[in-house]
Amino acid sequence: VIGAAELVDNIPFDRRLLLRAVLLDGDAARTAWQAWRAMVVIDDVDGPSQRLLPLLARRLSDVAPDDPVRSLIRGMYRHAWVRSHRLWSDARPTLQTLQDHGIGVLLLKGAALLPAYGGDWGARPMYDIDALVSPNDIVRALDVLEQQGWTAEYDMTFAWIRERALSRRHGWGFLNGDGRLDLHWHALSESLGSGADDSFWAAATPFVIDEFAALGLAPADLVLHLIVHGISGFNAPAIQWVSDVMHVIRRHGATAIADRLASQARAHGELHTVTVALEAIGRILDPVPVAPLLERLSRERPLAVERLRGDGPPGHGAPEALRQLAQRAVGGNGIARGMVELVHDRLDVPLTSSRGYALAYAASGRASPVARLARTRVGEFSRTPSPPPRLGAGATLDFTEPRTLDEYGGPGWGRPEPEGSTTRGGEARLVLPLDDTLLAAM
Amino acid sequence: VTVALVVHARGRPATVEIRANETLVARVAVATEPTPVEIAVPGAIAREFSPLELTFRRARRSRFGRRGAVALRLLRLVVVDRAGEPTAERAGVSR
Repeated sequence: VIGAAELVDNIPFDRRLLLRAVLLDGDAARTAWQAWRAMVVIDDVDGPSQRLLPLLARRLSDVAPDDPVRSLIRGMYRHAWVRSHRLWSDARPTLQTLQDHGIGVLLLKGAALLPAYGGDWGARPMYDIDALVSPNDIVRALDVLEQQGWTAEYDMTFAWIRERALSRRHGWGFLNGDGRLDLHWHALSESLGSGADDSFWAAATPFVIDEFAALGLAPADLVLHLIVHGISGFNAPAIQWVSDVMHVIRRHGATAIADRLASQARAHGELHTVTVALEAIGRILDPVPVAPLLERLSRERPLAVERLRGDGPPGHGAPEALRQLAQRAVGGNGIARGMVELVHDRLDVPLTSSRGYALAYAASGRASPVARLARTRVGEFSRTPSPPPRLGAGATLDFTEPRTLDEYGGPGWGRPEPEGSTTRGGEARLVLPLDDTLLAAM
Repeated sequence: VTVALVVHARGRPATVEIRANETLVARVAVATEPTPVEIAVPGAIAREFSPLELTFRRARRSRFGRRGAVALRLLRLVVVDRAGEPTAERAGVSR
């Protein structure tokens, strides 16, 4: 994110008009609606715009009293209402089981926004149920999902998630029939430190959804999460976040959330991102509702890690190593702890048989004698997420298969993809237990 | 034992060092297209430690240069009794 003007310019003009139509009142909404209708062919409306249309269903007589698309919008509303209920029904038993196992569940995004949308299940379409669990509970939570028949998106394995994804990602998607559950172990994709979510959990607020006692982010944290998620990565230039943020601000009041939003945005290294996003909302809709937030944010100074990281995409902003350090240092984790966690992640320490030798190996510049000494003393230098079956002559390993990487990939591997398994970092190791007959024949 | 691989470089072609049980056994040029590679691991090295660990690292460009990320994709691996056996061809390895 470079600046508010660029962020606004990245949102096509017709989508900005639609935002005004669904989020403003009176003449401003009606004028925007008429301009939007004149610009678009209703059958060709893009996905991000379709997500906003159900919001109009309850205001059609005011915004579009004579428009023939009223029945279409009511149909979209009903579709969203049914889909959201079905997604919730599919995920709820698993969320309940997590709670029964003593695992706290904090809802994010769609389901968590129900109170902000007045409890209206059709106003804000859901595409999955997003839930956050503590990094301390995630391994047990994954066990629960696996036992209940959920499968990981993109055919990844649970072993891959446990051993390779937990330290590098903030969550993963899971499927179960028509059910869609995004399980997060960190709330923010750019705050991956072990303590980065402590403040979110400490301020979490209880709410009830369909008789399920859930937790949600504190209102200011919810705004921070919606903005960071909404305008980063492949979510940009979607527009749902503008509507979500405005609904939270209207429900709780800008003044009530300003102090915490400013301190949390600073702590997570997102001061610039949040400021730019709120300025963009002011330009698209109305500067008045966001003014108290911007004034409060302007009094904060960014952390050193936010300045170090820069705001460019990978390869154009700060060096990748600095960006990764910032990911682990923000959120109260600190640079020293972030550095330790980054080193562990870069070396894939959990996939080495001896942490001490792994660190000594790295410190020596990956000198072979150190690895040789480790193998003499402790046997295997590397371990794999799943036990590797022995290999005889002619054994063929297909590394487009996630299971193959689980069984034979040691430290230094990323993700199995249709083009092959990708290496990660400066060194990648394969563990190949050869059959005794093959060894004897040599 | 011979290990036949199909790998390709991510981004740009690279020279990659391959170690077997911590001993350098091959230095190969890897293209951005799928590249067949055959690595002969002497029996003494294969038996030195079990399991056999293969390590991939980018070769240094100069004596004191940084190696950088290895940046490979591994498609397939076939364990061959010895070089020249038909299984190598099945792995897409041409000699």
